[in-house]
Amino acid sequence: MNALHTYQALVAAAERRAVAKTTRCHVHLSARPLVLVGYHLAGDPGALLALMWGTTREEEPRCIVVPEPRNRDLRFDALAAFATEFLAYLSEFEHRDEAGMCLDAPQLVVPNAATADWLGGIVGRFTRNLRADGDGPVPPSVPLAGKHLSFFGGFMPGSSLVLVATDALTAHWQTGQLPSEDLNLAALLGWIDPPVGMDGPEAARDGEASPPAGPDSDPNWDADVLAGLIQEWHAADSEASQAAIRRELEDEIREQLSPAWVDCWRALDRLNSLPAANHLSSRWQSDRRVWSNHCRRIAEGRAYFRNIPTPVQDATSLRVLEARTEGLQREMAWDDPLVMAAVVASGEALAGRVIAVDPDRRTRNVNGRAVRRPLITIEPTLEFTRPTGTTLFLSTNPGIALEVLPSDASGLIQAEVLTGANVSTTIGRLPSLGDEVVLSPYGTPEFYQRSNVEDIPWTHQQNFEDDSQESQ
Amino acid sequence: MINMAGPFERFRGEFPRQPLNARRVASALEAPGCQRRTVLDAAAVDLDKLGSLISGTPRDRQSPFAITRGIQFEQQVVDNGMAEIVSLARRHLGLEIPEVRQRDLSASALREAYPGVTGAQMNELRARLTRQRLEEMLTDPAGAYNLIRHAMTRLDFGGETVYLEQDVLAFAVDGRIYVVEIKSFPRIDGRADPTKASATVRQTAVYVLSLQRLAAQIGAPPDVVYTTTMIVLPVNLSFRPTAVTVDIDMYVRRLRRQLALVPQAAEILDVVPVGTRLPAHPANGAGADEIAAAAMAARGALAPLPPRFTDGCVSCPLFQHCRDEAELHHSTARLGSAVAGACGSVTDITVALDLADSRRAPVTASEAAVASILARGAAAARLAVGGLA
Repeated sequence: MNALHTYQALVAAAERRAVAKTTRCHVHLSARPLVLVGYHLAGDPGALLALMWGTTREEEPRCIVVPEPRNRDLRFDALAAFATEFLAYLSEFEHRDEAGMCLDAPQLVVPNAATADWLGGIVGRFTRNLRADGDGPVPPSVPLAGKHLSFFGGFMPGSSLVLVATDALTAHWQTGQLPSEDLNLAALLGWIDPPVGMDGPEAARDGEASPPAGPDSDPNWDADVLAGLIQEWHAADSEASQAAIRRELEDEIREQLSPAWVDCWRALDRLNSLPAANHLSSRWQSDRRVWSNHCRRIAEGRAYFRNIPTPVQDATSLRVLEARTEGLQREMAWDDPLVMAAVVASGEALAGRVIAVDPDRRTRNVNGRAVRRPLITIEPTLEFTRPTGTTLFLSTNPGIALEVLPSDASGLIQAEVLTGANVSTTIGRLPSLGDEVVLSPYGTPEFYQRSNVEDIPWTHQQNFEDDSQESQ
Repeated sequence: MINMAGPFERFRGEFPRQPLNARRVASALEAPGCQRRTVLDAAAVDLDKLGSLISGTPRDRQSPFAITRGIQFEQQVVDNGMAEIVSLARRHLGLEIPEVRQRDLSASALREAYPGVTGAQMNELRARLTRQRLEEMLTDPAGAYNLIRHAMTRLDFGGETVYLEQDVLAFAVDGRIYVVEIKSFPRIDGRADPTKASATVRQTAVYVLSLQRLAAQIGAPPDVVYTTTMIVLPVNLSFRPTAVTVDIDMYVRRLRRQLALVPQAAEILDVVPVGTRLPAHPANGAGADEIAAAAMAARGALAPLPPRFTDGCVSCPLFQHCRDEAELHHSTARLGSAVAGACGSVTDITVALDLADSRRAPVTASEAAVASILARGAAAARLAVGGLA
């Protein structure tokens, strides 16, 4: 674990309150998010029990319930009701500029990663290919909404199209509890935002006592309330009494899901209290581009999703995942001194004061030609032990690359400029004497992206002895 | 009678007993090194009751819907003379089962043939019948049953006999025995929930190990019981079964090692003050004072048993109690394995912070090493606040 985060966890435990891991907000917060919470029947993720959603906190959230989740028709009726409103919400983001890019993109906010996985991986996955004609037709809005949910299910690091409240909060705050306890949004918020008169652990205990945020409901509630209501619904002999039971179920569900709904908004509030990071707008721009492309595919009827990706698709998405994880970490570090401090604490970056600058130093390169390699000498604030030859980049100007030279016993670090500030037009970019600088491992990314994966890499070769017949 | 009993029975005293099952034996693998849990398991203490007595909140039940679904799926799989199992075993285990001779050894199936046998006697009977069937399988493969449902085996857990009910035992013509486990969590697009899958694997390892021991008792080599097991799961959201074969050899070996260590748990009790024992569980409708007194006594009895608080503890019924205790003692374990690991020999949060902020000089070499890491973290935090370029 990172030394800074270890220290912060200790401080959080001692002060009984979460400690900030960042000074900026690194997720895009939409002006009009769709907060979505829901339950499925225990042990049966396909049996949708309820969904609750809304776009402003002042409004009464919309809610659908399925009085018998194991009944396919009832389930699709309820899903159709959700789909209509969901599609209406998404259609607000279809206006395009001259370049064909959507002006804004939608944002789904869910309480935890399990809900996001359930909505994309189960609800989306098992509705996107349903037929609106033929045997057992479903309302056409259901498969369309399923396609959109599948799209939102495939989010990548750095994307804010889907905001998972627990993930976003743990990226910005360090609590003094177990990482597995951080998965509970109510407990996590207890540490970050305890009510007046309570400390973090107390508020977290309080939060644990509230109904679960889904997608699994409270088993005690299942046994004490839900089972009885479903039975009553079956036993009801008239439509009026069935409707009455349905209303009763809806009241119960609202009571169960309201805390999670409120907590999602509280999470957004906390994130909103931080100033936005600089690179956020470019990441949201890329989200908008992805959304625009998805909309175009939907409009042209080309929005297909594979249930089981091909090895090449898998290898490609792994490559994208790695590149985006790396890119996110890099941008967060540039934008945020606290994130950069964690990199310094881990020993990868060098922080210190410039005590000497030699802008006119020349050395001979391997071809024997004299080249200009300005030298700066840094007094490190924290011990720096990376080996000679390590390439680092100036954090304030990542275009400037430096190489660490052999150090003497004085403890000072000497680094020569390789690129970015070694010709007469760029020499002014060198830090000056007395500057506090950070040299980080994060340089400007190469402009040209790596080529696509064309052949199946050895890591993704399939063992054809495996039986894969039933997966088709 | 209590005087005659071993150290574990003396420790449990009047507290309700809960016979161990495969799941609980398997959980010994999940909480390695927790002496508190080992003693409670060896003493067969009803953990759910103990946990809810101490924390004052009722233990979560299993949802009736999850239970119903599990039963429905199992029923579906074993209907029609286990036709599904047979075809899955032929395909996935590569077994030639030319003729299916099956036998159900469940309590309900035996009740007719053996009227009046109940409870522990029934378990004993089923275990005996399982042993006989297994002997027949190994001596007379051509005539014996080759598919046994609800077989019952025994496993020794630190002197405590655990009865284990297996879903299905399949016997191959070439003299191998396979364990088949039926689970109702779905396998979606070829993937099952990894947490549930690994819990299943650990549980199946308990069955395999107990069968291997039984084979050894009969005089057969233990490896007639194959460590490749077949797990039957529903495909996607349907009730249609599919199977995956997993080699669980590693888990069986781990379990064997773990079980060998259990008798040493008695040594933990050697150092516990004489007379430490759990209280009797308050009767239904007992007054608040009585419950509070019992909870207090239970906490007292647990106190001398050292827990090992880690990330996996959230699923333990005693989680809340151990958490409170860790918090009370300012234990670094409260923050999870990663932080506790980074703090090494420094187990107190206050001490760790004093070292980090150099309010305290490190005494030992290991403390010095920890102090240098923590001081680095603290310095980085100050750096960020002071303004980082």
